[in-house]
Amino acid sequence: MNAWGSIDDDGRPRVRGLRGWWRRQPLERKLPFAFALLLTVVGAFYTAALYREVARSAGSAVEVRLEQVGREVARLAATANNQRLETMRRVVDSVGTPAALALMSNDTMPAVLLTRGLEVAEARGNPSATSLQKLLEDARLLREAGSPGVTGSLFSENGRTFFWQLASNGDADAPGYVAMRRQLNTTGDGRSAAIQTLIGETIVLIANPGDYGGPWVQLEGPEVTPASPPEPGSNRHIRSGTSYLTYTTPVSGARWVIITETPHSVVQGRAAAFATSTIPFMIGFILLGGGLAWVIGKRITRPMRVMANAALAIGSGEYHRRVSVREGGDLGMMARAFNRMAAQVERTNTALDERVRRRTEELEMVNQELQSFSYSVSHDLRSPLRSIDGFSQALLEDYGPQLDATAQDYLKRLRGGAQRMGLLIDDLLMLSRVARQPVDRTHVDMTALAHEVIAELRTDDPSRAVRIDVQEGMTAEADRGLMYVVLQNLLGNAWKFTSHEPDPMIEFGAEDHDGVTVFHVRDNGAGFDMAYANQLFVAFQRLHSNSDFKGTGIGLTTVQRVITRHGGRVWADAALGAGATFYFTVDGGVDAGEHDSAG
Amino acid sequence: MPANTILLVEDNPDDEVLALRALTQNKIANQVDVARDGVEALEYLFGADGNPENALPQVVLLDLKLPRVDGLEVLRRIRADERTRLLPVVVLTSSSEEQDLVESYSLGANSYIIKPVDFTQFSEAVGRLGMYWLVLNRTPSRSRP
Repeated sequence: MNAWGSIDDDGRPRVRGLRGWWRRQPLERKLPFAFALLLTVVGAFYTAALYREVARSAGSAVEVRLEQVGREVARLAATANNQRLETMRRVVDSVGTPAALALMSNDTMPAVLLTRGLEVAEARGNPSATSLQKLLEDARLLREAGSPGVTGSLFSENGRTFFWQLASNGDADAPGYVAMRRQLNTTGDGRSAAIQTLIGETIVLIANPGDYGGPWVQLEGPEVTPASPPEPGSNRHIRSGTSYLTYTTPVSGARWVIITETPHSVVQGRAAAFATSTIPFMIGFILLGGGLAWVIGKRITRPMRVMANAALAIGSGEYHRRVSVREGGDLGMMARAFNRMAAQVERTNTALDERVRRRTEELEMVNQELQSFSYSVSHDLRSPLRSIDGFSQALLEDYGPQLDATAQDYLKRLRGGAQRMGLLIDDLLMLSRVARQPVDRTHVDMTALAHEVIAELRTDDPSRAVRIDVQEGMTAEADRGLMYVVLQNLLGNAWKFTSHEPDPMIEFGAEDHDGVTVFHVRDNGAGFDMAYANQLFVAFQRLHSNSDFKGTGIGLTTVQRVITRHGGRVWADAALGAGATFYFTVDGGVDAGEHDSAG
Repeated sequence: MPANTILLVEDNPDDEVLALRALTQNKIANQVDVARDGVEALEYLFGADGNPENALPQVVLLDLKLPRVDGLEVLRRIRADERTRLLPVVVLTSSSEEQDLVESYSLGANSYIIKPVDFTQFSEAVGRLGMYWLVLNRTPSRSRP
């Protein structure tokens, strides 16, 4: 995880929110997640389609069954009605209508004799006015159809359902029709098991056709509240708040229809149950897909991770690190390419190491030579000077009175020359030391360091009154000893070149420029012409005569050497007679320090 | 009974003359014995056959760059020997190399003085060291067996 983390953290801008989270996830987590998501979507669509299809086919299956049951019940009802009608007609045919009425009626079962003109000739059993009304309607239809008998429409009376059966005698002379009121008996008694089996869960209703109205009676049950007028064939209706699939069949020889119905919810329930039964399968499918994707993701990311770790290892110096190639195909190709690259890096690096080692050796040799050279300079070059100076002095002291003024002057010049050369040697040694000495960076209090240098300057030349401003709290990551040399030179120069000023002023401060601390030493002294600024840091180059300001011309070269070794920069800004400002930085970064520490 | 001699170890005759002159100028009248290289200095202190002819000097003024055996080696032998372990040794050299300074002190030099080019300054330095090591400084008294 660390390997990924550190790669991820490499300067890439972090995206917030869900997108950012997703981007940060490793492939082996993304892949199964994406797969599972895909399978879930596909599964959901599939299940929905399945549900619709099942619901549709279940619906048509139910419709077929409704039709079958309806037709069968209608046939049974027609048969039952026709048997009774047949009996009535046979009686009417054999005895004539009036006698038949007398024969078939009793007090509890109203019966009516109608004339051919459809007038009530005789009524028995006390039929109600409404029922008589129904009878006349039925009779009119019978007459129009010219049929010998008919089963009339349903009607309710005192909570029970009745209908008329009418039969004609077929004899044109005899008075018209005999009608008997019958009760619709739908309760289960006497109903055969065959019918029970036939209708099953289907609800069977008996009603009048079309918009004739009248009651709806449930087979095996009471009257129910009628819904919309039944139309023949497959249909739907809402009865008592429930949605039904229905089939309406006319009953032949009767003004009846058989309505078969099944609640819509039964169909939906069946489809839903089927769809539900697929859910465990779907979940299994999704898990299997996700798991498979996880395995595939692992297979892809494992070599990637191995390579990432190897790359990190190589990056941190383990150049011999390779990845083992087991896979073929793309991953194998990648691994082989990686190994080739690693080998190249190792070769290059070894070559580079070798070159650095050789260069370092050479450099060390040169350094060694330089060191013995400066040692010799330090030791051997000064001895003769000491002799020149010492014996000139001895001459002056011991033989002074015997020498004339010119001779004495010459001797003094001899001593002056020797002493100046001594200073030159000292400065040159300092320069070479600054170039060789390792840069040891620490946290340096530049303000305190400047105060030290200034105290030294004041001690060496107590006669001078120079106003010196040093900014508080200046620090630098630098070599303390070398910074001392820099300040000694820059403040020393400012001190020296303000010596002809009536009101000498020196300022040492620092400013931040884009995160880099720029130090400056400013004075109001002699300054210099910027046209010669390029000669400032060249050894032995001086912009002032030795009679105006004494110096060796090595100080600024030393400063530049120190600053360069710190990876910094030094530059100047000045005008002749208007003072000078020297700027420098030491924030060159760690690299410069590391390279230098080799010497 | 320590003799009040000064042992000056110096190979450069000019420097020797100048050092003697500076001592004289500073009115240091002690006897000055001169050894012209490291071997001579060691023979003076320990004798060629292990029996030195002279008593130990009061102070050794030691140059570092010497023929045959160099000054640092002389200093090392002085400090290694029980008899001369506490002998004051002032390194008097032209070398301003930090390395020489550090090594001298770590070998047990009592002082490290860089010979200035300017004779006036040199004379002053010699005067001061003579005043300190010959007059002011007290060393544990020891006599030769």
